[in-house]
Amino acid sequence: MIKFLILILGIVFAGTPYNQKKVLVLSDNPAVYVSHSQFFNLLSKTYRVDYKNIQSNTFNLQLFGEWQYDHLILFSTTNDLKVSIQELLDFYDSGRNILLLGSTDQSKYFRKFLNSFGLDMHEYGSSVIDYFNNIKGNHNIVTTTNVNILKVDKPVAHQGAGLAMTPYETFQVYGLVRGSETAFSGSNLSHNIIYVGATQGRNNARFVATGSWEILSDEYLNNSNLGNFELTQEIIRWGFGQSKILKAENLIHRRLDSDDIKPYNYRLREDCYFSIDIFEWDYQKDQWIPYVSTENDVILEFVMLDPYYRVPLKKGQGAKYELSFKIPDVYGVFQFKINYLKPGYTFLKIAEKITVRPFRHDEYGRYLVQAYPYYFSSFGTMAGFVVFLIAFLLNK
Amino acid sequence: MSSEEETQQSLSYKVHKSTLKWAPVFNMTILLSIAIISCLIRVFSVIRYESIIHEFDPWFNYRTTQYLVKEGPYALWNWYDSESWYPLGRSVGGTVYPGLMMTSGMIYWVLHKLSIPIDIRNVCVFLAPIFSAFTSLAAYGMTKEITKRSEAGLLSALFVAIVPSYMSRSVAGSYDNEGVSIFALVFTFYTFLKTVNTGSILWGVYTALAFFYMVASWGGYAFIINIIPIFVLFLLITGRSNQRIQVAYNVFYILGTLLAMQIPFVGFQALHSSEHMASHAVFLLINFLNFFSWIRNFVSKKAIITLTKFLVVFLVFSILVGVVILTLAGKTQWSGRSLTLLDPTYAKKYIPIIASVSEHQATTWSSFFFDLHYLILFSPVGLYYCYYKPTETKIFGALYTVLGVYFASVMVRLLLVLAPAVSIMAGIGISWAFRKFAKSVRSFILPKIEKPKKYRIPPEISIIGLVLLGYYCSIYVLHANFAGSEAYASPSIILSSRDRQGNRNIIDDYREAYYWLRMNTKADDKIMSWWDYGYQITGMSNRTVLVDNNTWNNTHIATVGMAMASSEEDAFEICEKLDVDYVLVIFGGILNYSGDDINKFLWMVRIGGGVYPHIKEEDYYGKGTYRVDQYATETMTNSLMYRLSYYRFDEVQTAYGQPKGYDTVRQAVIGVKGYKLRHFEEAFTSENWIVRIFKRKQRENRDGVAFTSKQTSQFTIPKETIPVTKFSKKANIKQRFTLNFNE
Repeated sequence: MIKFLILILGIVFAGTPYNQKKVLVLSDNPAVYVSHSQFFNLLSKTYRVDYKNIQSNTFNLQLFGEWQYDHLILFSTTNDLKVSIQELLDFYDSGRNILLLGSTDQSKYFRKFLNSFGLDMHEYGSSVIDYFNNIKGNHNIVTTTNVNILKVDKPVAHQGAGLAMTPYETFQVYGLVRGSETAFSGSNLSHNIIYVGATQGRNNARFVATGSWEILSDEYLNNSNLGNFELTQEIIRWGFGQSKILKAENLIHRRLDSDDIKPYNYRLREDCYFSIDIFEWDYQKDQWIPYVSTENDVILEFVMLDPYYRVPLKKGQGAKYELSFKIPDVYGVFQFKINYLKPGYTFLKIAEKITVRPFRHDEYGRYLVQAYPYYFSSFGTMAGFVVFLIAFLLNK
Repeated sequence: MSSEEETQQSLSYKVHKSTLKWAPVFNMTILLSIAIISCLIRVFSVIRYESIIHEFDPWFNYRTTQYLVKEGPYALWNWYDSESWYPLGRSVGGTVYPGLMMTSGMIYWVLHKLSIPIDIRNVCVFLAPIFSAFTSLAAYGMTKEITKRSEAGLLSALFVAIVPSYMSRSVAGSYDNEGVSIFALVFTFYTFLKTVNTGSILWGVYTALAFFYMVASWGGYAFIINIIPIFVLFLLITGRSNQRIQVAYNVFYILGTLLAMQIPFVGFQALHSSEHMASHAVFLLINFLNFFSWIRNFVSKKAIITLTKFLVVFLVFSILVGVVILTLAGKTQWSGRSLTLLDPTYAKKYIPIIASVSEHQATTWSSFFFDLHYLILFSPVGLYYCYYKPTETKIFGALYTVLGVYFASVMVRLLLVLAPAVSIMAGIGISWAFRKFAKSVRSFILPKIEKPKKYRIPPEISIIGLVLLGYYCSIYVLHANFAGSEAYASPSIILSSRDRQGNRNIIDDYREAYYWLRMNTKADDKIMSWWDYGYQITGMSNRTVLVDNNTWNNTHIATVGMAMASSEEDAFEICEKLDVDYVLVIFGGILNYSGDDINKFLWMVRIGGGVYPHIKEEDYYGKGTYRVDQYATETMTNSLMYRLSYYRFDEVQTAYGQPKGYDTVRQAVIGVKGYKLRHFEEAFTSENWIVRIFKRKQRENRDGVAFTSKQTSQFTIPKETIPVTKFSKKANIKQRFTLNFNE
C-alpha cells in the first residue's frame, strides 16, 4: 500500500524570536562605542551583546560545530577579518542574521562579502551627493524619504557611499532605503542608489548592509527631525528577525463534503477544500497574531507539471486562508503549492502532494440516457432468441 | 534356413505387434517426459543464480502480482499507481494485460487453500517453466490436428519444449507475458484446428475461451486475430471453404471479439482498432457469401447477375466509405508497433522510442540460427509436406509458418511467435522423413507387413539418412541445452564473470544500488533514470520513478532525455520542476559492461530531440563520431549524463598500461578530467561503479555575484560582471522548457 508522506517544505526556518539572543559586534575602532552609544543601547535592550575587535583572536564564531552567536554586526574597516568570508557566509546560511555597517573605504574583503549577497558598493572614496535633498545645504549629507519595507515616517539622512544592487535584481535583494531621484555618486549617475540594502536568503536569514556606518551614529539618531532613530530600530527589528516574520501551519485539505482531513487520494472532478493558517510574529505583544494581507496576494497553485489552478486564497476567520475548488478532470500526482515571496516578509514555500485518481470501475454513471439503445437491443436480442427458439422447436 | 528365417520373422513380428500394442503407452510416457524436460531445462537459472525475477518487465509483472495477491482483483482493476510516471501516474488496471498476474494469483490462492504456504515470488519464478510444459502438450495436439499423426506430434512437442527462442522468454524467473501467452497462442491454434476438423460449435467455444486467455495475457493476440481471418480468406479464395470453416470462424469471431472487449486494456479497441479490421471484414464476407448462396436457391439466374452486380457495388462502396470515414475521423489507426511490422523502417523514421529497444530491431541471421538452430533447416521439409497434399489444417500450419517468418524477420522479439511454428513444421518434416526412411528399412526387414512399392529408397541410404537425422536432432538438443544452461540463464540483474582461473564471480551491483535506495532515501523521493531501469527501481527500491518500461508517454521520456542531454545548470532546472531528488545512471566504464547509459545516450538525445528540437544529435558527435575522449564536443562533455557518469572517473586506473580515466567500453581516455559538480552530489556508487546515484542539491541560499579578476576594487558597470547563477540564460531555458511542455 502506498503511504503518503506529507511534506511541508520550508515553513519557517529562521528568526524564531527568543529574548536573549547573542549578538557579536566586530569593529576595530573603539570610537564607535562612543559615537554609536544610542545604537548599542537599543541593541542591548533585547540582546546580549558581545564586543570584539576584528583583529583579535579571542572570539570563535563556531565552537565544536556549534555557532556561538545568533546575530553578527560588522563595522567594516580597511582591514580584513581573521575569519574567512566563507565562514561568515556559512554563519548566514545556517539561518543567522548579519548586519554590515559599511564605509566607502572598506577593504576588498568586505566588498567581496557584500558581493556574495548580490549587493555592491560604489567606488572607493566616493560619496553620495544630492543638491536638492540635503541637510543645511551640505550636499554630502543627503536625505531621502524613499524607505521600503521598514516603517519610517520622517526623512532619513545618509552620509557616505551608496550601494547598488548588482545587475540582476532578484526577489531576495531589496533596497530598504533608496536615494531620491536627484542623488548621484561619483561617476555613477544612476538614480538607483541604495543607502541601506538587504538580502533575505532562501532560508529566510536576513542580511542588512548600509553604505556608511555614520547614519546610525548618535549625531543623526539624536536629531528629532530625522527618521534615523526609527530606521535604526527598524533595521534591528527586521534584520534580526523580529518583524515581518511569518509562519504557516495547520494545512488542511479535504473533500468539501467530508471531515476526513488529508484523505489518501482524491478522485478527479471532486470538490476539494483547502485551508492554511498564516501567523505573523508581533514583537510588541511577544506572540503570534493572525497575518492579514490586505492585497489578497496569498495565492494557491494546484500543480501537476503546470498549474491547473492559480487562485488567491480567501481570508477566513482568524489566521485562516481558505479556498474550495473543483479538482480538474485530469489524474496525476498534484501539489498544493503556496509560494509566498512578499518582499520583506519570511518566504513561505509550501508544497503538499496529493494523488488524484481516475474513476473506479463502479463509479461511472449507470443507466445513461444515451445507452438506452444498447439496453434495448441487448434485451431485444435475448427476447428474439427465445422467440426464435420456440418457433424453431415447434416447427419441427 | 527357411525355418530359421521364419522364426526370426516371427520374432520381429512379435516385437512389431507388441510395440504397436504398447504404442499409446509409449506415446503418453514420451509426452510426459517431454513436458518434464521442458520444465527442467528452464530452471538452470535458479540453480546457477537464485530464485529471482529477471530483467526489466518481469519486475513490473511481479510487483503487480504482489499487489493483486494482497489487494484482490478489483483493486488491481482500479489500481492507480502514483509511484511511476511521476507526476502523471499510471492507471495500471486499464493499461495492463492481467492474464499473467491472474494466473499466478490463481495458483497462489489455490495452493494456499490447500495449505501449501508458497511464496508468491516462487509462484512467479516457476510459472513460465510450468507453462512451457503445457505449451509442449498443446504443440503435440496442434501437430496431431495438422497431420493426424502422433509421432510428428511428439517430435514437435520435443522441439517446442526446448527451442532456444522460446526458452529465452520462459526460463525460471523470466516472469513475462510471453511465458504464458505462447501456451495460449498454441492452444488457441490447437482448438481452432480441432474446430476446423470437427466443425463442432463446442470446440469453437473452446477456441474463443483460449483466445480470451491470450488476449488477457499478451498484446501479441493481434497475431491470432489476423492470422485466422487470413487463413479463412485464403480458403475462400482457393474455394476450399466449407460449413466447418464457417462454424469455426463465426463462433471464434463473435465470442472471441466479445470476450476480448472484456479486458479493460483492449475494450472497444476490439471494434475500432486497425488490428481487428481484418477479422470484421472476413466475418462480413463469409456471411455475405453464405447468404448469397442461400439466396441463389430462390432467384432466377438473370436476377442473380443483377443482384450480384448490385451487391458487389454496394459492398465495395460501403466498405470504402466506411474506411474513409473512420480514417478521417481518426477512429481507427494502427499502433506504432503494428506499423513497424508492416513497414520495418517506420519506427526508425518516426518513433525513436520503439526503434531504441533492442528487441524491436530487425532480426539478424545469427540470432535466427542461434534461437532456432537446425529447425530452420527442417521446417521447409514440413512446409513442403503441408503443401504437397494440402488439407485445411495443413494450410493453416503453413500459413502460420510463412507469416511467422515475415514477422520474425522484422522484429527480434517476434522470433518467439515463429518458434512454435518452426518447431511444428520441423517436427512434421522430420517425422515424415523418418517415416519414409523407416518404411524402406521395414520393408527390408519385414517384407510381409510392408509391401515393397515400385519406388522406394534403398535401405542403405535410409539407414544413413536415419543416422544423420538422429545426429542433427541430438546436436539440436545439445545446443538447446547449452542455450538453456548458459546463454539464457542469466537474470541480467545479476551478472557473472569468470576470472583466469575459471572461477565464477557474481557482480551484484544492481541489487546493491537498489537496496541502497530502498534503505537510504525517503519514501517519497523521486528517482530519475533512463526508462530501462524504471520497473526495477519501483520493484526493488520501492521508490517513485519518472519514466519506466511502459513507454506510454513519449513526451515525458523525452523530458528525461532532455535533462540527461542538457548541461548541469539546465538539467538542474528541469529536475527541480519535476521534483527529482536523485539521478541514477548506469556506467560500465570500469567493468567493460557495454549496456550502460553512455552507450544508450544517443537514444536519449534522439528521443529528447524528437520533442525538444533544441537538442540536436549532431552536437554530440565529435569529429563525426560518437566519442567521449578529448575530441568529444562541448555539448557532449557538458551534458549531465557525461558529467555524472565520469564524475571522479579520472582518479581510477581501469586497465593495465593505460592512463587513469580509461574507459574500457569506449576504449578511450575521457576528455574532461577533474571537474566538480555544482548542483548534484554523489550519493552512492556501487562496487564496480555500474550504478551511480547522485543527489540533487537544494538551490543555493543566496544568489551572489562574482567579479572578473581585478575589477573587484572598483565599482564596476554590470557588463563586466559574471553572475554566478546565470539568470539571463536560465530565464531563456525556463521559457523554452515550459513552452514545449505545453505543446
